[in-house]
Amino acid sequence: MVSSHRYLQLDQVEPGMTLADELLDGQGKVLLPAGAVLTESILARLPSHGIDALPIAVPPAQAEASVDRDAVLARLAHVFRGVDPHDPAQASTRLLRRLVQEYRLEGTTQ
Amino acid sequence: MIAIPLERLTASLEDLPSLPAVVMELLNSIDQEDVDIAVLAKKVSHDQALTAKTLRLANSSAFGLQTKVTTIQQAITFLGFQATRNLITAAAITGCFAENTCRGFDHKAFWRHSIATAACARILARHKRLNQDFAFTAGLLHDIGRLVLVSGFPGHYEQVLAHRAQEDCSVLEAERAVLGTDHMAAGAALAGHWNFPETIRLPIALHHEPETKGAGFLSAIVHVADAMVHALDIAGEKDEKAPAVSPVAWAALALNEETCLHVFRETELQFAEISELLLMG
Repeated sequence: MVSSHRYLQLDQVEPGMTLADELLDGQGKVLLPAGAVLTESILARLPSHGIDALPIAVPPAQAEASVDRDAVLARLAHVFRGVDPHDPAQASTRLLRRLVQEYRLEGTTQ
Repeated sequence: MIAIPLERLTASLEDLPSLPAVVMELLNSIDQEDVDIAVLAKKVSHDQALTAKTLRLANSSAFGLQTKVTTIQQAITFLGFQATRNLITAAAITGCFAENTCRGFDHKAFWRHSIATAACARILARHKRLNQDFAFTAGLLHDIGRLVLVSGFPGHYEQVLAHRAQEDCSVLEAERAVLGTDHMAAGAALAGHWNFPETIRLPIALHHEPETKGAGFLSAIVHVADAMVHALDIAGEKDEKAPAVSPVAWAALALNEETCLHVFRETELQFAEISELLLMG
């Protein structure tokens, strides 16, 4: 099961967000499985099922209310300790590090 | 150096636990379309533990089914034969190797890494519109050679782990320094012994050298998935160390930034669920 989620009003839900739990209609029929990625067309249909809020998955990286920026950076430096900052042959490894850093710090104030 | 010659490596394969016959059959026929599905479904159903584990996986949200499946035949109907075969393989193989034969080798961390790589490889394959099921199985089995070495030569492998810790090098470098061979060679030997098809054998044999001529695109996918999973620090190893990413493999996948972030997120979510199902009990 998704480790963490929050309820959002339908108008705050954006396409691309992930549903944290099974979504049932009034009769208990499954409309969407847990883990479904919400699209614009899905969201547009929900009001007709009487749904006005959704449990939205919070990615593990953001689960803790405040990501400890320094801890994230220190851990990344440790995991990527073998990477030479100047070797052109390791450019893709450095890029991967930058992407993971961006991912881990997503949503934190810079 | 306490080198393991190839003959001893090959001989050690005989002592490995064998997979259930039906799983061997599934793995060996992975690139064949004309398998009698009804017969296989029936054979799998005779193994209740395997069936239960497979169905739990099939019903996990990672596979996005709208209805709960309760039989292997149903899983095949809703998920397709290839995907179901994958799940059966995953369910069987994660329980197959004995634990704790080698001091310092963390079986749970090993499978966490393998499962995360399987999930990530499957997600990458979907983005590249390639067969997701092959990618999942190849990701799951890519490091299987490490288990061959750990099971067949536990004493030797303890020294590999000690060397790795002391030098802070990669597992691959430590294996080569101590054993004169590595887990890609051991994995390739096992793939031959168990008659894995070429599609799965190549990434097992070449995932650290995806730029090798003839390695195939799946080797590049598994290579990048392996690197991403190390970088995401998913296995929970204290001294996790990200490996160098092959520029050739990275360029071959041509991922943009947005795709990468999406792949990271999806990998973590799927990993959390699949690992709980596969590693329980």
